[in-house]
Amino acid sequence: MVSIALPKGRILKEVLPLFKKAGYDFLEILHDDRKLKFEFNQKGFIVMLLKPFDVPVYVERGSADIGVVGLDILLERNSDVLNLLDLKLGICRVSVAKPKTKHFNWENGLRVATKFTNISKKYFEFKGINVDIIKLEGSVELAPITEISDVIVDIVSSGETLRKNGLEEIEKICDISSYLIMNRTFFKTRFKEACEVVQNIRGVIG
Amino acid sequence: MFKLPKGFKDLLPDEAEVFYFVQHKLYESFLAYGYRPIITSSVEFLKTYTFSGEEESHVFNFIDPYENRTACFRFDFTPQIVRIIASYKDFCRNLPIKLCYFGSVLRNPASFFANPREIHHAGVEIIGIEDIKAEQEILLIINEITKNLNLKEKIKMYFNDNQILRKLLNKSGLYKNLELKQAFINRDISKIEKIVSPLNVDKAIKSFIIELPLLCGDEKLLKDIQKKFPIPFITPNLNELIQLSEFINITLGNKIYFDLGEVRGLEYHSGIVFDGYLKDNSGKMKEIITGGRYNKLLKQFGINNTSATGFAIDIIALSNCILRPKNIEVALVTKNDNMKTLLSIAQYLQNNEIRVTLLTKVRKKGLQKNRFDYILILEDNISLTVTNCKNNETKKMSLDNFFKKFTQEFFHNQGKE
Repeated sequence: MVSIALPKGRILKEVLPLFKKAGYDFLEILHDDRKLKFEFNQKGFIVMLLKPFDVPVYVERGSADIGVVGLDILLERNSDVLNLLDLKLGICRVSVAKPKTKHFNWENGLRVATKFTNISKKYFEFKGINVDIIKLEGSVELAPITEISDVIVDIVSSGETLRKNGLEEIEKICDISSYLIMNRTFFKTRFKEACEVVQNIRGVIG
Repeated sequence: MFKLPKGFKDLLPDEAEVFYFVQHKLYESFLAYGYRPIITSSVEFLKTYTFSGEEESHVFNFIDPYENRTACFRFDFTPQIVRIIASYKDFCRNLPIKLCYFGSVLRNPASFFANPREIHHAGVEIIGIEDIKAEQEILLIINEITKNLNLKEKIKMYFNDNQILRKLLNKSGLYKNLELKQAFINRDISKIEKIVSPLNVDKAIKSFIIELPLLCGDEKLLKDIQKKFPIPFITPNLNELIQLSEFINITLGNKIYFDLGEVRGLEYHSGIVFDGYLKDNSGKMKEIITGGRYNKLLKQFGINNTSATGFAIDIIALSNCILRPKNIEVALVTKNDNMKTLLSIAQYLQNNEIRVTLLTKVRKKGLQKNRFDYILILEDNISLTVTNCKNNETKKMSLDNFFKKFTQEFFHNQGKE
C-alpha cells in the first residue's frame, strides 16, 4: 500500500481532480467530510486528510509516503522531504504588507506579525533588517491596525483581504504553489511505484 | 520533571542490550577485515568542520575557555580522521590505512521533526585505495555484517557517482548555481526544469540533467542510460558502477541498486557515494548506512594524491532492525553466607552461557515479574530451590543433582520461546 497525505480544505477540491486526471480517482473523499482515512485497497492506496501544516510532518516521519502541501508550509517547516513536483495549484505569494497610511524607516528595525516566523526570520536576516517577530495564528491583518506590529508577513492571493483592512503589499518574499512531496526512504526503496506516481502526475500538470 | 533536550534519548536496558550486541558484532566484522580501531576526541575546534564545508548552525558549538576559541562536539568522524592523518605524518606513511571507530555524533538537523540530534555511529575508513577495490571491500564488509548479525534480509545498497552531476553542471556552466544545487537535494524536478530548459547546452546533457532526480534502479538502468543519453564524458563513471554491480553479483550473488539523483554531500564527497536500507521491526525501511569517497576533503586538509572512502552505520537504526538476542537469565539468591558455593553455581551457569544475577534478598513476586527465567535459591550448602518463572513450578534438589542435571540444554529447552 502507498499512503498519501492530502491537505483538508479548499485546496483538496483542486488536488483531487488533478489526481483523477493522472489515473488516481479518490473523488469519493469529497462525499464524506468527517472521515479522515480512506482505503482504496484495489488501487493500493490509503489517503489521509490532514491539516496542511501537518502534511510534511507525516511524510518526513514516514507515516505517509506521499503528500501534497503548499511551498509556504514546506519553507516554514523546513522538513526533510523531497519536493518533487510543482502542481501549479493554489498559486499565491508570501509578502510583506503595511498600513497604507504609515511609513517606516526599515533600518531602525521592525515589528513583524506573522504565522510564518521562519520564513520571516530568514528573509529579514538576508536583508539585514532587525526585526521583532510576533507569532500569530490568524487574522494577522489586524496586527498593524491595532499596533501590535508595524508590518505583517502573510499569504497574498488577490490582495483583497489586505485592501479591505487598509493594508498594502510592499514586498514579495516568494511565490507559492502546492507541491507533490515524498518521504526520502519511500522514494528510494520503492522507486518504481514512486516514479510512476511522479510521472503520471507530471504528465497532467498544466 | 527532569527531561532531556529535544532530539536526545536515553537507552534503557532492553534497548541498550541490543545496542551493545549490535556494536560487538560490528566490531567483530570490522576486525575480520583487518580494520584497526581508533578513538577520536569527542571535541574538536569548529574549524575542522567548517573547513569540511559544514554549516556552523548544524554543529554544537561552545567557547573553549582555555583557548578562547570556538570548539564543538564531534559532528562527524571522517573530518576528524582526516585531521589526524594530516597531523600525524608518520601515521599515513604506509598506505593503505584501514580504521574503524565507534561513538556518538551531535548534530542540529535543519528539521527537528524526525531527526535525532545524537547519533551513535560505527564506521570504517579506507585510506589509500584509489580504484573501485575500496568500494568492493565495503560491500564485502557489509555482507560480513549481514552474516554476523544473522539478518533475515540483505541490506539494500544504493550507489551513485556524484562526479556525474558535477561533470554535467560544469559542462553546462551551472556548477555555482546554488538554487539548482538545492533543487537537486530536494529532487525538485519542476525547478530543475525551469532553470535548465532555457539554457543553450547539448540536448542530451539537458534532458539528462532534468531526468536525473528520477534515475533510480538496478544495473539495467545504467545500461539504458548509456543508450538513451549518449554523453561520452560520463561513460567511465557509469562503467565503474556497472563493474561494481557485476562484482557483487559474481562474488556474493547479491544485487545492488543505483540512484543517480542522490546528490548528498556534493561539497564533501567526490566520487562514489552510497547508502543502505533495512526493514525495521515495524516493517518500515530505514536508512542505516551512509558513506562515500572523500578525496577532495583530504586535499582540503593538504593530503594530496590520496584516495579515501568510508561509511558510518547508525547503530540505533540497525538495532531497531533486529530482535533482542535471547539469553536465559537466572536470579541466584542465597539465604546464607556461603559465597564459595554460590560462586561455583554462578560459574557453572555462566560457562553454559546463562546470565546470572546475584541477589541477597528474596523478593520472589517482584523477580518473577521481572526479566528472569529462573530463580535459584541456595537454601543451605547442599540444596537449592529452582523456580521456573514461566510456569511457576518449583523444585527442590540437592546441589549434586543440580550439577548433574541442569545442563545448558535443560535451560534452553525450558527457557523463553
